[in-house]
Amino acid sequence: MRQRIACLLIPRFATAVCALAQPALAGRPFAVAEGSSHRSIIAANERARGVCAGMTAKQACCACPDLTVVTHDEAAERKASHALLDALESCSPQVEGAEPGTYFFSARGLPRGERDALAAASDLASALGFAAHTAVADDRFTARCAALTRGSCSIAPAQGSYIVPAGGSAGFLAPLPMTVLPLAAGDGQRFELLGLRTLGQIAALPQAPLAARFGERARVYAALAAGKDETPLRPRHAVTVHEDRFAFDGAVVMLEPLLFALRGCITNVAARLAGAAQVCDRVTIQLLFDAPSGAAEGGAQRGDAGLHIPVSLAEPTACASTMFELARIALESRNDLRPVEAVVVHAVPAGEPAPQPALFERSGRSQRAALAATLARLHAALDPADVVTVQPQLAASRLPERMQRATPIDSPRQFERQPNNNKNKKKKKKAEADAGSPFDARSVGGAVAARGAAALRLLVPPQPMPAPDEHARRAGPFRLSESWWERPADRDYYQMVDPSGALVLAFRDVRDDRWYVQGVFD
Amino acid sequence: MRPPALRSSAERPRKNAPSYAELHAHSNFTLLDGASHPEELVHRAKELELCGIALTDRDALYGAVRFAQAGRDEDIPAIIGAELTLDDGSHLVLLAENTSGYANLSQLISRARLDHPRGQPCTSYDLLARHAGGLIALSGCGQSAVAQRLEGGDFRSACKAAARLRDIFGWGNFWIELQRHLLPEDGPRIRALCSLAQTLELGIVATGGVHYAVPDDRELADVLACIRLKTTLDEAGTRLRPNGEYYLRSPFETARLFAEHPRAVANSAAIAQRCAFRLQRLQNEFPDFPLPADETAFSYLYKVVHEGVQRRYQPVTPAVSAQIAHELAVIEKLDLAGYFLIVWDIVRFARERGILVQGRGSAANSAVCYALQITSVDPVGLKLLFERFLSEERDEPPDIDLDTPSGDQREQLIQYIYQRYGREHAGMVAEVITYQARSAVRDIGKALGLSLDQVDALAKSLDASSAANVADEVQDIAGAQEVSLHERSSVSKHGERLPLSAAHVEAAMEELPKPLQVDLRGHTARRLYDLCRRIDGFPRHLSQHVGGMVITRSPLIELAPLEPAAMPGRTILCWDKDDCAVLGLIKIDVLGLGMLDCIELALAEIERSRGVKIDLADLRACDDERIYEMLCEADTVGLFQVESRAQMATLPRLQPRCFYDIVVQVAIIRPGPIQGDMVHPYIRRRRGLEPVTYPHPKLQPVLERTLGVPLFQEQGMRMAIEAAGFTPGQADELRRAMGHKRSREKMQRLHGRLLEGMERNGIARDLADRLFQMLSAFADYGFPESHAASFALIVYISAYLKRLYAPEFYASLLNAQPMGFYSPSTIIGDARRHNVTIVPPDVNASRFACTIEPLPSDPPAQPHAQQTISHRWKHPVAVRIGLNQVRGIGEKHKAMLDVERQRGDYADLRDFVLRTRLPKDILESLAAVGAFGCFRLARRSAFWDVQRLADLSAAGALEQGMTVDEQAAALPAMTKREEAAADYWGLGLSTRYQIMEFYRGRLNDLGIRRACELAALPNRLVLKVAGIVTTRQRPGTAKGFVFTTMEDETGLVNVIIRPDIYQRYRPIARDEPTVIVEGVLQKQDGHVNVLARRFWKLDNSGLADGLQSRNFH
Repeated sequence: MRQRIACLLIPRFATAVCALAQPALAGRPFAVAEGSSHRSIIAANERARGVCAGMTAKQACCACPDLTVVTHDEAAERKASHALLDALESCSPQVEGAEPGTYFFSARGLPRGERDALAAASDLASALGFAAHTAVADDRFTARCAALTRGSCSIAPAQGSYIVPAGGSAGFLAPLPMTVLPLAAGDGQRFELLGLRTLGQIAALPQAPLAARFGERARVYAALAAGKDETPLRPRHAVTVHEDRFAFDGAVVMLEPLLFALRGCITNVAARLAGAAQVCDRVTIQLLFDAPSGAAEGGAQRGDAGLHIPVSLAEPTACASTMFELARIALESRNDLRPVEAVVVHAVPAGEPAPQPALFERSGRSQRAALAATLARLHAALDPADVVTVQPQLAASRLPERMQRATPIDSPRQFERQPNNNKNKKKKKKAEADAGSPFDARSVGGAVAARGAAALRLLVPPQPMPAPDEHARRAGPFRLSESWWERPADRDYYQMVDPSGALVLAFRDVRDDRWYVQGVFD
Repeated sequence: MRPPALRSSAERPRKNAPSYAELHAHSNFTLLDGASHPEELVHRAKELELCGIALTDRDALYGAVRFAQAGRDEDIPAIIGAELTLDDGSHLVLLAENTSGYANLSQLISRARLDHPRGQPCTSYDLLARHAGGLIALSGCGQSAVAQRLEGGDFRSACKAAARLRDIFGWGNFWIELQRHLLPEDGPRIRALCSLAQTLELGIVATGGVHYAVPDDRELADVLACIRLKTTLDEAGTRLRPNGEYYLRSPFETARLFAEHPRAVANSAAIAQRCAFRLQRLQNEFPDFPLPADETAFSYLYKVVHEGVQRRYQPVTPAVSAQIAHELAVIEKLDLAGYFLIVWDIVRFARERGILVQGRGSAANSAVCYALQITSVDPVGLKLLFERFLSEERDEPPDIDLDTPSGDQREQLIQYIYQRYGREHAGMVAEVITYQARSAVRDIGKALGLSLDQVDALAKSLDASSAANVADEVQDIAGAQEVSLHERSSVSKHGERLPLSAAHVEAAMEELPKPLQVDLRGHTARRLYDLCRRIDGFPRHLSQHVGGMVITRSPLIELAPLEPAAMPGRTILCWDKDDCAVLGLIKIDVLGLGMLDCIELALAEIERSRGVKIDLADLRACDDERIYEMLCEADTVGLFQVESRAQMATLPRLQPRCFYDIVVQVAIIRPGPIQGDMVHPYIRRRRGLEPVTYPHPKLQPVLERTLGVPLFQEQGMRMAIEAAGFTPGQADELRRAMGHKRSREKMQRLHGRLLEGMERNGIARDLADRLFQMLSAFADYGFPESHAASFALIVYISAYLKRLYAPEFYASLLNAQPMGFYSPSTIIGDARRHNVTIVPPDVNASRFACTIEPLPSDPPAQPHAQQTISHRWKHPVAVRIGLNQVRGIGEKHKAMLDVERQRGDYADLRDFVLRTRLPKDILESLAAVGAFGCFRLARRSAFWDVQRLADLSAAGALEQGMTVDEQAAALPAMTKREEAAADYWGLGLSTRYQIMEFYRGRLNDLGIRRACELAALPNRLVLKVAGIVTTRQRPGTAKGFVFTTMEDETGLVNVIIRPDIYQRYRPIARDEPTVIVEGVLQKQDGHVNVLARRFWKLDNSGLADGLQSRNFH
């Protein structure tokens, strides 16, 4: 029996996710950009005219003056994808998330028929807030093309779904333009000059001569154009929430028995994860109290079922000791615990398990695990946004506060050595050399540090100070004036001794004639 | 915002301020670094009451002439210097103390540039030692050898470096330079430098390390740095200067900055006083011409002139003899015989090698030049005024420009000059490429962080040439976008139907322009306009002038720095032609003229194909009636100078009937006559619609030939001579004083003298004032009669060739592209309308260039042909499109293709691929345009086979010899439309089709007229026309009117666009290749125009992608 594959396609998925998360964006032009500094636009909604992927935020705003640029939320996108895949599992046992916004599921042998399955899939997507196009065909490529061209009245009915009959892929694809193929650069124009404008024409060409002219990739074109995409469906792993619980004979009021029970639960959950070759990046501890209580605190959710304490792991793992250590820290840091009747541990598998390490390769996994634990402890103890790495940006600016960049740490992998890239090294070296001239101080404080004086401890943000006495002893001014085009800074820097006797780096902001302490020389 | 504490002192000089001269200043000729013009630096220095300023651009003297001139104008010592890059990467400032120092500086810079790769000049210490005389050296900025070593903490090494320089320049000529820019390292460095100076007993001097005149220019300096570093302001980071302290400071402020070192400030003034050298007009720099024994330059000139007179004038009339004697006397008096001999020698060389050459410009006023065969029109016969060319009163050398075919021939002449006078004495003049509107938008836009697409879209939308006008023009563009949006809303709101809303065409037409990718009124855009205004006229890079050469007596290297040109075998001077003129350097222009190329190619092709050898001297009579008939009908596409829209409009009204009429025709469509309102009076008088009158009877002889209307510069001069009794030299002085750079003082003096003279001659004051106004209207913008006469001769020759040898003319015109007003596509259309058969390229029939070939049978006449060719062949011929027209094929393929072609026909495609080894993209182009038709391959079959065979030439012998038996692919045959699209894609023209043919059915349904119908329609009729836009002109003198020429399958349509209509439909009228125009028919004196009222884009479905109109904005 032939396979039947359904495709659910959500156009402009990244913007659709953002629009759901931020309803205020409705009706406004907005674009989704990568990174907190919005370096590169990755998608824009229909109203954002003139904005293309790859632009910087500045370029996009220049093209579309009312544009709102929002940060790409990968987690939200992943969550939406998971939600869609979860929902689609009610249509078919085999679902695949090919890429964000494009989902396939097996439509073979569905009890309610293909039309109902597509309608159900559309309804599910709609219920989650997405307008989706759906189609079903014998293969992935045809199903995707059918979903893509659904909006074209000449090809598909206006219902939002399209069914390519079994064995009808070639016929369906024949009139479609060849540009839907994943063409290599230049091939499109060559096909055009050969008069090959539709998939049907390409499918009709003899394969050997085609491959002799366009290479082996032409065989793929021909197979796709003929509706013979043999790429199998790669269904996602079934997700089972691993759970373990321990009920006390009576409510416990001490932490030790609670931790003792918790260790056992976590060990069981970890063993189940490991047995299924799975890992998780988060466990939830549910404490059941003997009576309902008030509002939750500290990120926990308190309800009739008790208190849910999420424990984030720095990286996906199935290591019981790591999980327990973090859970213990999370519990110990709380001061709202009451007598507990039972404890439940939930672990949702996430991501792919770590690859099998080679025999003689130093994988560094143990070190990474230790680091993960440390990070997780920090995350648990602090606001995760405060757990950052500080990277010097010597070539970016001479203003002390702009000479470094804080990057939140999500995973210990961030600390791993990057592949040796001589080109980048050279570039970096050159940039630093350039940075050195003509103002080779790195910073005003750095100049002093470089000469063996005390290191400068920055105050972020700079602290206001009264204007110093004109006769006070001070060195300067050293003038820094930069970024006149954006966030301008005009400062006269001085090194001076403050009333407490400390040597400080202070500046007068020329723009508002106020004084600030930038740092202290320790 | 600037800190008041430090800035207030800079605002104006204080009393009792110390003497200070700025000895280290960079202008914008330190390319993409300095942010002020040399004149701005000088002006600011004067304002600040500095006692001198030195220009020290890096490894260059590019701005020295302008700087020196500004110094003279502002009366402030302008010291010539430079900052040299030494071979250890350090910088050193040198100042010219005297003439010998200047010569050494020039040599140092020349060697630094000539002996090293382009863009990486550097000077060795050894060379420095050899050319240290007359130079004062300052240790330099933070990048100096001394400062760098000190920064590294190596005091001993710094002392060594300083001592080495002291030894090179000598005691008292090497100074330790102190700079303070309010940076943390300033203090330690200055202390160390002072200590070093004390150790070595060297003097210290304070400088500003100036990169711009005033603090506000810092923004521009940062943007220039970004352009240089190819980065954006956001990403430049610390590569920009840390603050804005690199401006020109007042003596008081400098003294305050160097309060601890007052001696350093005082020393600057002392050094400035020592540097007495001023760059000024060079004397006696005229090169020696190699003479035969016992001859002086003048005696030899006298001899060759009289030989020439005998050859040129038969008989030699007394008027000729008198003119020659007069000219020779002036030449002798001005000691210019050598100059004439040099030019004569170049022309002689050209003639010996069969290179067409003709003097243009005012040289044609000289009978001596005519006798020497430098020029081709007889100034005596045409009564031209010699003093427009040369006079005793004129304090500058004459200027002779030679026109020659561009390409190899011109290069031969240039190399001859190098060889004759040596590379030490001859060099090409530079051309300073300055920022214009588009380049400014592109470079600054990128620096501001706009994307390439955005800056490209904005730059392409601009017509303005000056970067200063970007903001104004953008207002128009923004206005056009708003109008379009308004129209869109009114259509939808009120349900108005467009006149062309026939259901089947509506989809093909789109009225609304596509918006630019930039918000034109946004913050970033406004900053862009402001910076464009400020960067206007800044030098961007140096190029070589198209043909200007300087020849000198002294070694050129001592007069001005030389550098290698991008073209091998050429060296260029560091100054442009204006700078050379200011210094009085003798310049000869050898200019490439496309039409001479065309004429030369046509003559050769006529000789090759018909065996007819045409001697251009035989055409000098210019009296063939048929040529004038053609001109009267404005059948001038492809002709020299008279093919523009305005010329075509004037020709039927002027009805030229003799050579002088062509001279007038060439000169009348020029800014001078147009701005002086002289065109219409002349035409009316010419047509007998108004009487010929003269402002004064004395002026009748002067203005008689132009019917009482002054058209030429020479007439202006003669008017001053006749009416005010000026000498010819004074008249020329008056002409120049009224020119671009008007000198008020000089004008007042001459005005007074003119009025006095007129009064003496009995001319009333009011008439005298009117005459003065008349003179000043066209004194400079008017065209020289001699120049017009030289051009008129080429007009006649080109018209002669088109009329009598049309196939050869069109073939040569195509080969000489790019040139003229029209694209190859329009030229082909014109050829077809003249019944010239054009056949497509074919690898076995085409040569590299377009050629003439016999046709097997008489081709059918073209349906819309204007006339048949009178000078018919015995058998039918056609123009065969050469392979040079095929996309991707260029000069580098010429030799190979010609050689292979001579070896015999190609047997098949495989043979062609293996023999030519052309790359795949060219083979594809050849296949697409049907050039493999000789192998009985349809275009697509050929394209299909090319895909398989393209890499064959790189394969082994075994594979090359293998034949593959493969299943045939059924490829669809090309439709006519597809063939036309392939032609335009691969050739830029089509020999078989005209795009509008494909739309004619639908256009007929809409009542859209064809070009050939317009002449028969009534005047003032409102109609619609459609076509491919071939040219767009927006002359500066037309008050915003735009003149467009459109072409359909039957001919050309002239469209006039009013400024308001242009603004409204700008994106379509300006950028779309195919349009529909609604307008009013205007017919006058046989000339037909459509005055546009409305535009629609005609969607050509990509058919016209290979076409581009020629725009002259």
